[in-house]
Amino acid sequence: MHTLLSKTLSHPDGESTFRQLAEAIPQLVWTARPDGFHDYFNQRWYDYTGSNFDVTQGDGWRLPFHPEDVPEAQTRWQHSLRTGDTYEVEYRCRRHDGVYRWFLGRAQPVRDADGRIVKWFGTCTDIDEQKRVTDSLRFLTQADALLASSLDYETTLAALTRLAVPQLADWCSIDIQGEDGVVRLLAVAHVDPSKVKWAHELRKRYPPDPKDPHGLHEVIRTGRSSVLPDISDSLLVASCRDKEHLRIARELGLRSALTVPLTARGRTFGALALVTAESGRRFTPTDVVFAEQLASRAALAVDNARLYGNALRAEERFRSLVSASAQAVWVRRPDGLVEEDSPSWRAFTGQSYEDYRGHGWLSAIHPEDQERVRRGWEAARALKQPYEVEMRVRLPDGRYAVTLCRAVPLFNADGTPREWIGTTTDITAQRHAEESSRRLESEQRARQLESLRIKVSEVLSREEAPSRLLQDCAGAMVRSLPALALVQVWGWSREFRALVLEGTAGLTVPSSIQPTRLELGEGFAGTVGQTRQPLLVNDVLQHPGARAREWMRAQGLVSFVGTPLLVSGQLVGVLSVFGRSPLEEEALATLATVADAVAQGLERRRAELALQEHARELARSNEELQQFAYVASHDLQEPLRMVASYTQLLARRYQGKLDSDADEFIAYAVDGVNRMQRLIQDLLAYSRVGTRGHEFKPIDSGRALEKSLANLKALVDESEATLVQGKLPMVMADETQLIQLFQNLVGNALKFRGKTPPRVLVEAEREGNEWRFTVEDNGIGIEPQYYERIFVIFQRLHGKEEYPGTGIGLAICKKIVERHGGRIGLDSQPGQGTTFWFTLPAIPTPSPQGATS
Amino acid sequence: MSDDTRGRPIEILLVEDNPGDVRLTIEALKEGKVRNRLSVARDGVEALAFLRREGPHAEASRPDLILLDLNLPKKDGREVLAEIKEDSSLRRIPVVVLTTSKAEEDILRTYDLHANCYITKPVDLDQFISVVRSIDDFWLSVVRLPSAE
Repeated sequence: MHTLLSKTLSHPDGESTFRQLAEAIPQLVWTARPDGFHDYFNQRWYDYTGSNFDVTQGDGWRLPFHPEDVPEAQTRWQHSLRTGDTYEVEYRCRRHDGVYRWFLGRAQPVRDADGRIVKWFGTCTDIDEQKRVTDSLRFLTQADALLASSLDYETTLAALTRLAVPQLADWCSIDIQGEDGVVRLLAVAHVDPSKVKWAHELRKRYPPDPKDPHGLHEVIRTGRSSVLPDISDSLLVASCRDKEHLRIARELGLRSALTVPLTARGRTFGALALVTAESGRRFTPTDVVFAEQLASRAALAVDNARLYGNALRAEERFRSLVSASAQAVWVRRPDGLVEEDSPSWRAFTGQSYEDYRGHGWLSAIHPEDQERVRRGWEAARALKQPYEVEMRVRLPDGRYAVTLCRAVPLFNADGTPREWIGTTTDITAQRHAEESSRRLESEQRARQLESLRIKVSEVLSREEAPSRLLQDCAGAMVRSLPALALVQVWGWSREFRALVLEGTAGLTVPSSIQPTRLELGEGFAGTVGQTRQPLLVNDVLQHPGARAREWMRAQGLVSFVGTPLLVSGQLVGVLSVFGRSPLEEEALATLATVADAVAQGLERRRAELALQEHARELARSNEELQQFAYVASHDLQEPLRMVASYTQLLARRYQGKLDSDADEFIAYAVDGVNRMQRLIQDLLAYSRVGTRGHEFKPIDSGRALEKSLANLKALVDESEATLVQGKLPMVMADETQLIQLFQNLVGNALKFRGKTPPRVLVEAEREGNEWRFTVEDNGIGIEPQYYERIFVIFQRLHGKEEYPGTGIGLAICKKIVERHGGRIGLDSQPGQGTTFWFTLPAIPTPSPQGATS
Repeated sequence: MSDDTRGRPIEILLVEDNPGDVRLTIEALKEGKVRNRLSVARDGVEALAFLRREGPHAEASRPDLILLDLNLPKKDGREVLAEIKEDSSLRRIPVVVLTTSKAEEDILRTYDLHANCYITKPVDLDQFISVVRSIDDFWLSVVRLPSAE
């Protein structure tokens, strides 16, 4: 081409030959002098631009250029003139009817034999179709990326309208048919943002006629696109319902309209409307195909969201989306200012456009949230990243709704943000649902906690060693609260003045790093013990109190909660818990509750044990005393037997054979020995009550009384006593001791008789779970001040000559009764008689009356 | 009952470590009717050696009656009794167990060692003498002495 041109143009007839050529080719052709002056355009150029030579020669070539594309073309042309480099530029060129089409402009210099430039030869090739295809592809890729992003589909659709303008149309709107069949305007975008409100106005006052054959409803009903390539003024007049309608329509400057269905999986649920105005473009079949492609992708994305997203929620959002009060869609400039009206925002908040524009939207946000929202928004702007924030937005009635706000940036071709598009969705209901599910969860947690408490209390009620109980508590906690990786219970040892590890469950801690004793202030548990305050640490590795960091890192432990175990302000231990994920304040509360149960239980158990230990000590010392009494009295008998036997042998052999003094001495010795023997035997009997008692068996107390009377036969006969025996029950008793009891009491009744022959009455009476026995006599009686004393061992009220005895009988009675779990006492009228009473547990049988077979 | 109807005095082995009790037994037996010869073993080991005619007791006569105290040094009365009753040549010798308390008697019965009778050592001399007499009576009226080998 180059050489051909050079040859042609350097030929004498070259100029005309060239022009013939230039007129023949299908491109727009021009030539220019070396100084850049355009001196020729072919006829095609004039036909396309609708201008003439006078206008376009020299610098007039620029006139049909799109104003936005002139500077670039000028710069490049000047550069080529200076350097002789090939000139090449893409620009939009206005056709005679006002439609701009994309052209590729190229020019080459034609040089003479010396290489000087003699002419510039240029062509303009219509690349509009190609460029549109390329742009469409790029646009569709962009759209796909947007549609595939994790945004809500409503935001996506709103964003889609922004994408379509101005690449595809001057304004674009999306309508969605709700479940109720009502078609609602979801989003509008316009090259001239001030005109968006007209679009809404138009839609509000003159909703689309369902019967309009080119209208929205028809498209949604049939699923077929509708094109109005050229909207003439007469068509406007014909289709507008009144003057006002026409005024608004003219204001919008409609030139060409295209409506394509949003169809997915055979279901049409909305329409995408594209309108040209200012650009003067007319929609072509290519545009229809492209718009349909775009719409079907968008529809599929929406449908996928509806199908695969949480179906219910999508449905709900879908409904809330189409009811303007639950959702707002808005646009902000890259600097964060609002200039474009958003009717949905106005409806949502009740703000007027004046309230809302600029930074006014912030004032609809809860004061406590404003700063956070502003910061989030600034960060998102700086990073050019989508942002999402939860905030409370004031509704028209002054209440605040919890909303989720999401925004995405849309970019210019050079990567600078063009604007931000966002949605604000009322999630109050969702939050309520979440709260109630949280409440449910917390109720569940509370129940779980309660069952844990019960378990812990149950564990602590066992009669085991505290360390065993604390070990089981730790185990129960690990089982009930899966968030806990390691639970340790430390007990405060008064003895060591330190915390002692009593229980550990969950992870196995190597003994090399597990202290079993902690001073106060040492490690986490020591810190809790020292401060007596709960401690929550969610980055244990960074904490200065951390020990065995490497191990904790290896085990993935990140959190620690420690609670002091306190009982009325006194430290009894520390509950330590480690988790593999951060623990919340709630965990503290949970553990505090458990810790309380553990502390109380531990202290109770310790007190019980101390009491038991005390009781054991007491029993042991009692036992020892009894053993001592028994052994002493038993062993004393031996030498006593010797003394007694030999004094008696002396008396036997030498009575009356020595002098009277010797006889008297022997008599005293024998008497002393005899009394000592009785004392020792009584003492032995007394000590035997505890040490030599038999198992309790069902005993017929009547029989026991009879046996005791048989033992007392001599005394009964001698005192000429009358004995009356009432009906006596079966009781659980040691028979030998019961006989001894009756024997001592009846014996006393006979011994302490008055002037008249003794009369003794023995009876029993049921009182609840006991039998109350009475041994009533008509003897000398006892003064009330002595009631207590007479049951004390070796206590006597009378002289030995008057009433012989060791003073152990009643002490033995008391001991026997108490061993049987009963009580003993007396009522007496001195001179009238005495009634001794004692109680014995009844045998638990359905019939209260014991048999006396 | 007439005095001493038999020519041979009965051989009694008293197993008792307390000299006071030994003397008392001798004194009590003096007041009895039955002629007897009393040998004394001071503990259980010696008692068994005597019965088996071991060592210094090679010439010991076989007793007709054993009076056995329970509280003995070295080998106590229960063990001695058990060994006597396990030995077929000694089994038939009547054993009178002397105890110091009723309780001991109870315990002893639980061992089921087949003592022929139990006597609680009374503190009272008169009682003791009557106990020894009762041995006399028992001897004269009840027991057929097994012939000595």
